[in-house]
Amino acid sequence: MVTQKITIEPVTRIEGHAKVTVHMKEDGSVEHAYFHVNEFRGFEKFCEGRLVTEMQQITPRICGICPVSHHLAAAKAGDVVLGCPPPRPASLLRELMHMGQIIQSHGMHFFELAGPDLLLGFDADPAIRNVVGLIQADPELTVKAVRLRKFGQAIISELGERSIHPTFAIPGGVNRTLTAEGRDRILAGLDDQVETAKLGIKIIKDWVEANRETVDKFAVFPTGYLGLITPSKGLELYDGDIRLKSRTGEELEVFSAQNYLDYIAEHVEPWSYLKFPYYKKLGFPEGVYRVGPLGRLNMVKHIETPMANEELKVFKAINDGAPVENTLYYHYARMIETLFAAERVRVLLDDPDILSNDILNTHQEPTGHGVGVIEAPRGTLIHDYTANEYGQLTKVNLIVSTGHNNYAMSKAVDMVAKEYIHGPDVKEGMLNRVEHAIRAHDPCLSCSTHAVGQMPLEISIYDHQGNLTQTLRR
Amino acid sequence: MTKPKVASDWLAGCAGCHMSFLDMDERIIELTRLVDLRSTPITDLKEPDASGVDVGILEGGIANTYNEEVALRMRERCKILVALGDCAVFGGVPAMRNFPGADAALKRAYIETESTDDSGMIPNDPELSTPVHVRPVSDLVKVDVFLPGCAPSADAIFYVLSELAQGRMPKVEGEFNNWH
Amino acid sequence: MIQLTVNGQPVEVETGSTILDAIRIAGFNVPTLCYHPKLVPYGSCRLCLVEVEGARTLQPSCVVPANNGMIVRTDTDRTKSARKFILSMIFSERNHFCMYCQETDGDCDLQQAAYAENMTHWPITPAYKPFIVDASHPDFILDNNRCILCRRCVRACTELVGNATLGFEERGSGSLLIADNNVPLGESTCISCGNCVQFCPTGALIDRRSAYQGRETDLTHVNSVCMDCSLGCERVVKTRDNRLVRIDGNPDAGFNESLLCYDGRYKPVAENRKRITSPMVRRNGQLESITWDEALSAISVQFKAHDSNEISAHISPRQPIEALSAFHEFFADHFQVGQVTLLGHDQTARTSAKLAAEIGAFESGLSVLKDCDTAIILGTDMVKDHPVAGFFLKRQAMHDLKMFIANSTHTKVGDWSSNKLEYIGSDYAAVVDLLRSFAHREEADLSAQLQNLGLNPERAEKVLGNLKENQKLVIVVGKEFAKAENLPAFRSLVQLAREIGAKVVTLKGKGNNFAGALFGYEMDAQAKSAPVFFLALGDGHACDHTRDALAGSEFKIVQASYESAFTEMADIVLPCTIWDEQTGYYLNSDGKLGLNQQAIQAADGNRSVLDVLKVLASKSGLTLSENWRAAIEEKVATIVLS
Repeated sequence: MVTQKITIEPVTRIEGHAKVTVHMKEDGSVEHAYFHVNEFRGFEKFCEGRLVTEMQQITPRICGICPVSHHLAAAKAGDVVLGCPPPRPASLLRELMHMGQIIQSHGMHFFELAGPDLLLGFDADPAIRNVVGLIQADPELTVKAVRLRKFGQAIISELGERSIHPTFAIPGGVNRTLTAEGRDRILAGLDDQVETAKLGIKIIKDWVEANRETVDKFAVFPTGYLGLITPSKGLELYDGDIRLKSRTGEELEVFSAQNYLDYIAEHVEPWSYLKFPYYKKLGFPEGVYRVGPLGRLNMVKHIETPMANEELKVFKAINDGAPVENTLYYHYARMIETLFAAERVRVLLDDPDILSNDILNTHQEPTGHGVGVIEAPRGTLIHDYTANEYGQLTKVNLIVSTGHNNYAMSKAVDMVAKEYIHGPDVKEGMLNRVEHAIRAHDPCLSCSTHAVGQMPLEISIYDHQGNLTQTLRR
Repeated sequence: MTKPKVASDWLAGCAGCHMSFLDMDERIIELTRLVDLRSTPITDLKEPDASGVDVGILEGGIANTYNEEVALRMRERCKILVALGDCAVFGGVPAMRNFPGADAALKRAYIETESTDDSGMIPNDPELSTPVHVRPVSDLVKVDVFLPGCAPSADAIFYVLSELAQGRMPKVEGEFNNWH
Repeated sequence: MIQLTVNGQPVEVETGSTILDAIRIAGFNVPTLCYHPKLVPYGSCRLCLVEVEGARTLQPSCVVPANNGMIVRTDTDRTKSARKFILSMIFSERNHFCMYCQETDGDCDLQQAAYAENMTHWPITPAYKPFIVDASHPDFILDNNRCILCRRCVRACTELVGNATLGFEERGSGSLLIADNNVPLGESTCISCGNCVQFCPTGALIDRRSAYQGRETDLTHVNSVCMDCSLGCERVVKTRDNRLVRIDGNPDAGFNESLLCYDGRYKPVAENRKRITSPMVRRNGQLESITWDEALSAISVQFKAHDSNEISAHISPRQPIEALSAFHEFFADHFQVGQVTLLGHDQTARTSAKLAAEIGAFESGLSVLKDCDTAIILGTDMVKDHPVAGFFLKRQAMHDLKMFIANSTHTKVGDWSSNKLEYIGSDYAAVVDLLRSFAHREEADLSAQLQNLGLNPERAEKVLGNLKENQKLVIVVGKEFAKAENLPAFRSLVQLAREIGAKVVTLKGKGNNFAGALFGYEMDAQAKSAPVFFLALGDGHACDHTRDALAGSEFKIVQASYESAFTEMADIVLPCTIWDEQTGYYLNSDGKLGLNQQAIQAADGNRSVLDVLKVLASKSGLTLSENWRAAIEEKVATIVLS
């Protein structure tokens, strides 16, 4: 059997460094495609010896796209390690900042990273298949997209002074209040962004209609689904128990993040710096699950804001109430969540406690160990800290959103490669679809390996003797 | 006059500097009138034009063999190289890996972590890059403009790029020189 | 005076000034790191290098004396390049990760110095050698990675505090900031005064509680007075969003020279007791929330239902003068109730006032402690009860200060002295007699007296041998010595001091004790149970006697900020503001009035002792006088020498 290998490196319009190798059979069909995450940073180790109170500033440097997730997960872990539960207003303010992040991150991904594929086409010229091309193709929409992201970033900077790597949450609460003027500034821009979120939903619905065949054959496969829930099992992004659903949609577990080790383990493959988390009781790979927008909407019963809940009903009807398995529906789910986040901003801003100055609990009863969990834009993020009596970390474990989706991304890459790549004359558009199998998950590989990266694309085709026969580059 | 070509890439950083670039918001549209954005992590060209670009921007420090390749290629293909952000300029938080060393960090991440199962091993596929001592970009290649910050502000990035686009060397000082 | 030229501008400075002084007087500046105006110049960081015409090399301006005719230039290519080089070396030596440092973005002198030189990067890559982080101390963290070896902390600890806990081991770039002989800070001789943290220019010493709560510029700074003991240290209370964040010593005011002790700096921030949020009344054995009107009416009813002598009233000295005045006026002057006391056991202020009334003013101000050649310390544990005053003697004890310490227990104030005589006991009359014998060289009695007190004659001779010739002899008197029953010894001591020209300083216990004494409060009178017991505890504590007296009383009214054994047994609890939640006057041992500015707005429901008294007074048809100031000032003048 003659085997060829194609390398896609770097994969672009995702966060982090990854590459894809496609191993091809003699007949030009794909034998297997691998998704390699190509970077490693080592936060678990080098944070040892640092202080719990520094982690809210160190760990956001894992990822500049969703620094707030790490900032807040680190603060939540710190709350438990130091035994200082935050007062209610502090939790509301943290959640508000988080909603800002959900809006900016989801908005940016949908319009600026995935958007070029959806709006310009998978086969568009790679030289213009980007946000600049989008500006030229639809300037009005692009401006709306830019403002959606700007709105999210503005919430973050209103609270944390800066939109990237803010200083806001500390164990026990947050370090500054929201002023009435600040609240009004946010409120002033909210209506427009609700409209943009709805526009996004319309765009993806129309796109799905027009591309039904692609949607139905592009990486459709079953997994479990995992994420945080409200007490009534609704969509929750800031704090709650973790719910795990089976591939057929039955509830498998509801557990506290503090006990995550009883339920989640990670598998290692030699060909990736990204580990593969799975549900322990089912083992690997049977116990794999998806997180992030698709995982969350499959996992929750309802959404506690009205407009997003109406959309959720439409989403749930796609597969008659059974989990939606199509990878491309990630985009749809992402826009529903954006709408939820915008609605949630209003709920939070209307809460009388949001302007309170009771924002920090300085009374500490250290426990020495704590887990902080949050639904980052890309999925469930777990920070697990153990500290000595002085609050210095002795052990750090991080399971990051994108990691949970590692198996799904690998599977999607393999499926899409098999579906769309046919040798020997491999076209760029085929490879872009493989990249999109990853891109749809909105991975953050910096997060997941606590390394950073990107996925530009280069494909090398080798013959069975390892000789380079063809190189494709974009 | 043709617009100057600008290419960017990210090494061992967090993408935050590129996000700060996006924080220019509507000014991005203005910027695209001034410069021709070529390969970047948010566009689809995979590497700087072989024929060269006018300005190369690198975010992140050098942390593995792949970063080294990318940095060397960028230097070779650009006229002016900008080190963007604290990681590119100083090494940044990822450089803290130098304390325990990459081996100890790999061992912790892939073998010792509490959630890692019996399959734990240090990934060693030849497809993967190899970690190296983390250092700033200027340790490997000559850097022409240093723009520190974690992340540098959108204003600072816009200033540097628009100056370069108009053929001037930017002066990074005052509010634009903020390491955070 | 010395005349020189800085950057072409002539300037005249005092003899003994440094070039740096001259530069600043001339209106220029050079950056500094190791230099601190309160510390002896050290010249280690070299950032202040300047060009001096005729000098072969650049000169460190913070240590080189200004000389007549010097021509100094601060901003030449040579000095600029030297500064950049020095900063590059400092950054390369340790691990300065600004992005997650608490001091970043404005609070770090090192970062500011780099900005001032327009440094955008470090030309020399750090070695990434990890240094020790010592987090064992409950109040602050020592991160050697961020240390620039300027030794400002070590100098503050030794030169100013006189504790000498901090020091360095190893040499050169491997130098490590350590405590004692390299023990964890939390287990060291550190007295947790935190002055090292205030003096640190970088993030090497970080205040635990205020870390990441905001930059200096994010915080509201309120100048106020500490009232924990009788020194009245000037401090800056730093708040954000009405939340107490940090307290620092005020560098620009007060005798304390920016120094604070643990009680002044950390105790209010570390406060962990539970606040009382609403007035409460006991019904069916349980405390229940009620309105202020109900609570105050219930108290009025009790007052009316009882004869004056059935009421006893007690107030904490941790109250502003206004409250002490009103309390005394209300209970003692108007109602003439059975007992009106000031809580606490320190009678120094009262005894001293009594003595002064008899023999005239004799006290000197606290500043005489800063410069003396012999210190006689009688009946006070300065390091424990008046720490900052203790710092001033401790730091001189490292040099040639002669110390005679008499106290019933060992005190640490003389631990660094090699010139110390210590008497452990309580026979203060004998101690004063001994001093008199030494002062007048009454040789005949000396050996018997020394033997009687168990003192080594040789050492005593060394310390007290020429008392009369001492130019700067200071006698410090505190609570054990100044008890009412020791009045004769006290009188004798003051007479002796007058004879030999010694200064007498009295340390007057807690809070507003001095003002309390001047109002005529009973002090250290054991509180007695009464049918109605009014306890204005405020944010303070009270002793077991008071608790027992309260327990034995019928109707118990407790005005307190925090839940305690006192509030638990009360019939009425009134939630009370804490010191930093009110504006009010404070009288320190010196007799100086200081105004404490309110730094925090109390939560709704809290009222000050004074406000409550005003309401109670109006319910009784009384108006309380607010004219306490003239009387206080007049009385102080009869006690403290001007």
